[in-house]
Amino acid sequence: MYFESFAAFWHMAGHGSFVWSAYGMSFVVLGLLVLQPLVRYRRELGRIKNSAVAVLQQNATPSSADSAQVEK
Amino acid sequence: MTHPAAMQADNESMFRILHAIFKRDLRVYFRTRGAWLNPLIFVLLVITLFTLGIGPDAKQLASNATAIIWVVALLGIMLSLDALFRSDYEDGTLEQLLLSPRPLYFAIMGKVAAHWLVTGLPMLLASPLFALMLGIPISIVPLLALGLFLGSGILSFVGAIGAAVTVSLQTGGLLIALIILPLYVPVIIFGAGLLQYALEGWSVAAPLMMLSGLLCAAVVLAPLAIGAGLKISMDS
Amino acid sequence: MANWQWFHRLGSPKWLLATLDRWLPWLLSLGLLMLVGALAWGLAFVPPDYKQGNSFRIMYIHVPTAVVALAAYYAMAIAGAVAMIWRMKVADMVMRAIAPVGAALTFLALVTGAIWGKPTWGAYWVWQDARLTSMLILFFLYLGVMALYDAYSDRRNGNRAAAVVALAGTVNIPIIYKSVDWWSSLHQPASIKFTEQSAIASEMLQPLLLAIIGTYFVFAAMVILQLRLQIVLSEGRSNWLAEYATNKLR
Repeated sequence: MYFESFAAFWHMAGHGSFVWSAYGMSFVVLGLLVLQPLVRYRRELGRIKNSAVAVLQQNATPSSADSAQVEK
Repeated sequence: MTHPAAMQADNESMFRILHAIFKRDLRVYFRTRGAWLNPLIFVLLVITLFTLGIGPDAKQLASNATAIIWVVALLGIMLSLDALFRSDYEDGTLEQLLLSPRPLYFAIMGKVAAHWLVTGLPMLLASPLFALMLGIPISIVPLLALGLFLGSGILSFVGAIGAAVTVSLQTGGLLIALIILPLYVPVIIFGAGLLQYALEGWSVAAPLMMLSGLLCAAVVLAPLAIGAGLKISMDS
Repeated sequence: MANWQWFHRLGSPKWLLATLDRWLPWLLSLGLLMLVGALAWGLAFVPPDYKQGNSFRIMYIHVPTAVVALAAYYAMAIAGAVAMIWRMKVADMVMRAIAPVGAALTFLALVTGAIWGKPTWGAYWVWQDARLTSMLILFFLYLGVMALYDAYSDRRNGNRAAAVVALAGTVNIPIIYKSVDWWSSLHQPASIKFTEQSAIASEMLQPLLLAIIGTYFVFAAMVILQLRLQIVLSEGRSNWLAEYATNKLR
């Protein structure tokens, strides 16, 4: 460890604002790069699942006209 | 195996299609005054705007002149590129060209070369006027003319790539600008560098050779990309 | 003869999605582990540079993002070329997946480079640095590719057009870099050297190498995240995907 204390680590001998703003920006951007596609992917997958379930339900319930014809 | 006589005929047809398209496009351009006149007027107008913006201080203008002339010429040519393939796309000529058995590569080369001549030659001829307006010394003018002529060739060929992939879109010139302006960076660097070196009295060999080299590369390679782009646009 | 089955299997979005789901957690955790480890190493366990002081530590995030951003552009162009030559839908999806990640990394390289520039050169932006200026142009190249495929309503043709432009860009990148390099030497006073860097000490280099490798892994993970999204967006109406979604979100 080349810093005597955490305060010194934070201060970076005067360059702290530069170092930490650069790293902070990087973490924000990288974080967004991970989160944005993840959230959108899950949302799209959920949407597809919902529409698939809706289609299945539609096919499962027979219409009254059909059942009347079958009985005949 | 191709018979030697047939190979001879192939070579002839390569240049024949190039020549045919070249002459046809030139004829069309000369009939429509706007094709060659508008970029020229654009350049003169924008130079005037720059002069008005910078102010009457001749020294300020002179120090930026080398950049201004190149940026303005670049923008003028870029604006004229949108129309390069559009009229042919709309009236079906492009489709005919793509379907014909003649080599597309040379047809494209002829077409873009015609555009280069029509936009570059007026700039070359008007360069003394540009020099006068921007305070560029007369001794530099021949180099300016040569640089503009070579540069406009590169700008036409590289820019045609952007024109080819956007011809089926309705977005207009801004998308072309976004695509090709990064590709234009070397032209402006060596073109303005050419003028700056000449003004400082240094040897202009390096930027001049780079411009010539880029022109050769553009003429040979760009038609490949342009052809691919036109086929894609035709499919849309 | 080589067994090309893996290559053709790669082209099946269904197989790919399942495989990507399996690989993703490993790649992401491994990459983050390496990257965060390397950054911590570089931030705290490396002596300060005698010329630049502590601000040189920005290098550990600036250089990896710059390197990967440039490599990503080539990967994107190659993916586009593969899509055109072998008519592979998946390769097109890979190209679209890499583009936003590469653009974001380029942006990051620019911002961290500018922040690093202030204590080092006294200014946030110095045009004479050929690498930084070339990186700015790389950013515009990315934006152009993305704007182009967004402009097309037909997805497939938009991908082909973007691939053509991306390939034209790859040819130009070395030219652009060399021209900016030449340009930056035009009016440079001899005493100040912006682009020359003294030989880097090995103890400073090691965390940098680890950071670069870690960034590559993280990049791969982020591309996979985008790729999954592209597969779903592209294959939205197919049956296998409906089945997959139902099974996945049980």
